[in-house]
Amino acid sequence: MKHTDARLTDTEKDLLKSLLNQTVIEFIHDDFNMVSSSYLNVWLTTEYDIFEVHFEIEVLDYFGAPEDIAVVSIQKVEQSEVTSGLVGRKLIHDKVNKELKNIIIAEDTQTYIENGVSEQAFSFVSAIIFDFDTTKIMLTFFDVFSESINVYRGPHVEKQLPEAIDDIPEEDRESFRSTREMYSLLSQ
Amino acid sequence: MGSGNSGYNIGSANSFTVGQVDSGFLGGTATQHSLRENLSDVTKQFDLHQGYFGIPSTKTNSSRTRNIQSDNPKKTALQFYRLIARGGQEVPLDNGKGVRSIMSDKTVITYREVSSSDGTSAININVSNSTDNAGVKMQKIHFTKRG
Repeated sequence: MKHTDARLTDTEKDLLKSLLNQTVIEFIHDDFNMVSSSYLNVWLTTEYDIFEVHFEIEVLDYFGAPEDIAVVSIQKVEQSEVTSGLVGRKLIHDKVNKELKNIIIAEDTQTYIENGVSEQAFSFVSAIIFDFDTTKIMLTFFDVFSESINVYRGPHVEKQLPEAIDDIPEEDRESFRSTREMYSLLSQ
Repeated sequence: MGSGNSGYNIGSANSFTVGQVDSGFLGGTATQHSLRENLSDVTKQFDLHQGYFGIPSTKTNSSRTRNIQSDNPKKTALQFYRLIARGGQEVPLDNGKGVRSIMSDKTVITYREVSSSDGTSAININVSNSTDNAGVKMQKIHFTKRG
């Protein structure tokens, strides 16, 4: 079976883990315009570092053909790199000032099945949830063609996470299977 | 950033626009359009079948990747974008590779003149936040040369 794996690397998970128990000062994203989404990036800042959650197109095999697919990556950046991916779009600096207690990662795997045999699979990060105890920030990455990160904030944001099967078009559901793995970085 | 009345200004970094945007909306419309408002004009020229434009890509097994074939794919892609995103709020992508328009129903349409995977022009229709997708499904359309 051909498997395209666009999940986080161990290095990226370790980088995220380094945020645990730190005070996140700000959460930075595009100024929302009708839709609560940020193009290409969001950032979390601590006293010393800026962590970027980046969602950018790479050419990957997508169920049988090369396709432009947006992939999540995590990195530390400098202040000068914190700019919107949209021309003229202002960035919003949302104050957090809370200790990060947990990070939950959701990873979906979509599998194409032909004649009962799994032929191709695509695994990707579907959501990252930053848990501050009294509130959470959830980022979702379902539109892999557009580099848009959907942003949710509140105490129960995980309820707004669509089911894995919801990302499979209805007409494809006989030939595709979708599964989701959710795990906490506390236990990694 | 806009090209004013000229309509086309493609490819220069940070100045990418493909339509008249003087009113603030693509095509110079007085109000922001919804996807539904534009659909009848789009379907006069492009087939829409079960929520999808064009034909399924023969290279991939996902219904979401589509092809529209023509003799002049880049021109056809621009024509399609200007019809479907008419009256949208258009913003250039910072990397100079394309534009993104948001419609009044929150459908987001992204146009890229050149896709990295095969060099074709491509349009992505994202209806995941739409309040009225008018039956159009999430899809990515490649504009390819008629064989």
